[in-house]
Amino acid sequence: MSADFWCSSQRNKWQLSRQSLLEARRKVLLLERKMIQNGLIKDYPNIHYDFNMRIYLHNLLIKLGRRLNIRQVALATAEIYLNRFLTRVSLKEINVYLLVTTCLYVACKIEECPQHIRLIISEARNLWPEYIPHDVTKLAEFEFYLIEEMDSYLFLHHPYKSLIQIRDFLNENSAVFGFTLTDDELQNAWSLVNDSYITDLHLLLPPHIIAVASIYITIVLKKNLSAIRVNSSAVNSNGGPNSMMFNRNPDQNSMHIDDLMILANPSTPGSDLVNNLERTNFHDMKLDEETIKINKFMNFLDHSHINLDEVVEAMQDMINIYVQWNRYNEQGVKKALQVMLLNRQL
Amino acid sequence: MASNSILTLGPFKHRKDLTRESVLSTYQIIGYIAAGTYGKVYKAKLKNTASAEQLFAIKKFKSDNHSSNRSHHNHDINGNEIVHYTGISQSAIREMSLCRELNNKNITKLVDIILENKSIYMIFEFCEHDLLQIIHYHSHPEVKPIPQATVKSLIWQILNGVTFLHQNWIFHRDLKPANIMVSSSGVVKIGDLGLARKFNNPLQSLYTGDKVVVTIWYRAPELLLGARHYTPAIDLWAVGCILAELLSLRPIFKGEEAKIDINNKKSVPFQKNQFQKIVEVLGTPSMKNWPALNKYPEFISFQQQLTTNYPPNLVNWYKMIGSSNKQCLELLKGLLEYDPLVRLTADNALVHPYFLELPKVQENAFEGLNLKYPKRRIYTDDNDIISNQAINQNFKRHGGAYDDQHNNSNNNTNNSLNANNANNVPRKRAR
Repeated sequence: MSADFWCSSQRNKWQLSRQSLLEARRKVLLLERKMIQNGLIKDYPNIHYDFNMRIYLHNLLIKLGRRLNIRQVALATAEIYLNRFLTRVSLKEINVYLLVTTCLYVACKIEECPQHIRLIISEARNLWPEYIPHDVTKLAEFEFYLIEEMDSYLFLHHPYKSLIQIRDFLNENSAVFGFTLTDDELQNAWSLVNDSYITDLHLLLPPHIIAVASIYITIVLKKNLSAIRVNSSAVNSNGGPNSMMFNRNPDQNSMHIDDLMILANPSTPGSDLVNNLERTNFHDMKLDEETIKINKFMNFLDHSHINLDEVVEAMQDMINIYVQWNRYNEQGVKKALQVMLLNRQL
Repeated sequence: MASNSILTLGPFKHRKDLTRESVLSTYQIIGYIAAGTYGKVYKAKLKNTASAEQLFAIKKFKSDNHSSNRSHHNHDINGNEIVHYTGISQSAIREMSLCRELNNKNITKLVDIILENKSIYMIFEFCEHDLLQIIHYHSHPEVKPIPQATVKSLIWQILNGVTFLHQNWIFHRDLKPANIMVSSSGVVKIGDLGLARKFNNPLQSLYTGDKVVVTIWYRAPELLLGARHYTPAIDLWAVGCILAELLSLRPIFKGEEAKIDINNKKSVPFQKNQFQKIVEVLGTPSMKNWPALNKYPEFISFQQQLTTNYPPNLVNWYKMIGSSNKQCLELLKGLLEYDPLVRLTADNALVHPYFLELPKVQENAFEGLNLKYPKRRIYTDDNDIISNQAINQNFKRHGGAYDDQHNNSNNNTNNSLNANNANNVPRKRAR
């Protein structure tokens, strides 16, 4: 239902397990192979639905969203549509540029900020003239196929709302739990959620788990910040995340995207991040301000009955994004798609 | 340089079109029920099953309703319409997405959605009756009031469905007798969520999205005064109007709609006549019983155009229609409060003393009725759900969603039906 995640279609129809997701992907690959054998599509070995591709698609969506000045929540909805669609359809049988445009078009309607079909297609054409038709009927046609592929389940719940709820709850109950989230922390957690759409997490876990994971990473990262900073100067993120709203000029108080990338690297001081969830580690921590905050947050989590295993799972995937982002090669994906799409006419 | 094949859906479309299950491969169309602004509704049963028990109402959206541009319509050499994809309207997509989420015994149950050949088919459980039909049955040929127990159970179930919607941050925005279905076992099913939408933190004022909501006779006074940020209370006003209509068997505020100027579609006219009808029964509102009255955009029009000061007259109206139950009148008063802040909310109305006294609210609203409502009339001459031509040709032929075997082209009936018509509830402009 639309006010309650627990009886929503997102949970009851579209929440997958790792196992069923793997199964779905396997089926897509099988389908792909069959289509290749039957001569329906050609094989393009360089097209994979891997992290490179996912970051590329994520960036396409953000670029188009920026041009149209579309709110974050509609972008998030569009990206879940994209993820859902690609659990059932092969990249090799579609035009991803049209797919991204269609996802955003439908998401804007669902999030009650509709964009006129002509406007959205002309902006998409400005960005990707080779791949987007003049003709709005192509976009409208894809809309049908996209909705059909999702079995017409379109309503979504996002971690953004959970973030605000947790923030407000902590404010109202600061006497009980002894801490609140600062605006900076909320902003950082928000940015982590923005990037989390690159992963499968939104197909696998309830939104509040992702929200809690983003807060945990934020708080723990803050503690490890100074330790990380020592090593951070060497990192250069090539074509790095552009949805992150972290300050790119490091100063003492704000986080840096590179911090996350280093944090994600097992050989750095931040690597005990995930282990910290096991509370045995708290004995070894120095009782500085940040540690106290982490303790208090853990105390809150204990009282919340939130599934901590799932939180850990979410954190691992969320941090892994930044490892992958370090290796991101935009040109590679762009080129591969170009070769495939421009050859399709032959 | 870019060829057509890149710019289309490519091999994916081909694959899907080959394997898609058609509406007609699953369902057998029995006949057609009704047509409206949205399109057409057909009665159907499952194909290839012996049991004809489970029935469905299949709503097919009119192509120029779910799409945004009429200029795209062409005709082929035989005069058949060629329909192009032009984008699903905000209204259709809201109804699809909301119905997919909602699950409550007082809301019509969506069984499936099929997207086929540029058309949208929503498959609902079939409901044998609706309030328009029931009210008509009780007023024709002679007036025979609906028993109190039935009225009470019906209105409680409506409120139960509305409470569910409001708890889910959805308002219906088009409650009226024609949209309240009743199953053959007397269970209310609120239908037609084509104007419904979520109201938690809207990105823009609700007015920006849809300038006009709710069929004129059921439209709350704050909407008539041009409210930009209205609340779920508008649905409760409509429920009040429906309660009054169940009691008196005619619309309580039967105003005439001032039409939108074709040359100036941006400005919405003040609905003087409708407001007049309300004032005649409820008395002229003032800042005393409605403190925010002068804050509404149309306050000046209201002041200038409704100069006669009427006293409250609902109690007399109630006596005149022959009703006497005190608590029922109290409930009616609570639902027809001018000030939306004071008006009963759906969950408060559910526990109103009226529902606590005897007779008890029944799960089967028809319990104890010694009459049988006629079945919904089905027009078997048209069971072609696929062709797009049929929709447009037959659109105006049959107005109503009820069995009109008693229909002697009676005035009341026809007017009621007109209220379901395109003119009264302009749908959202398609995108």
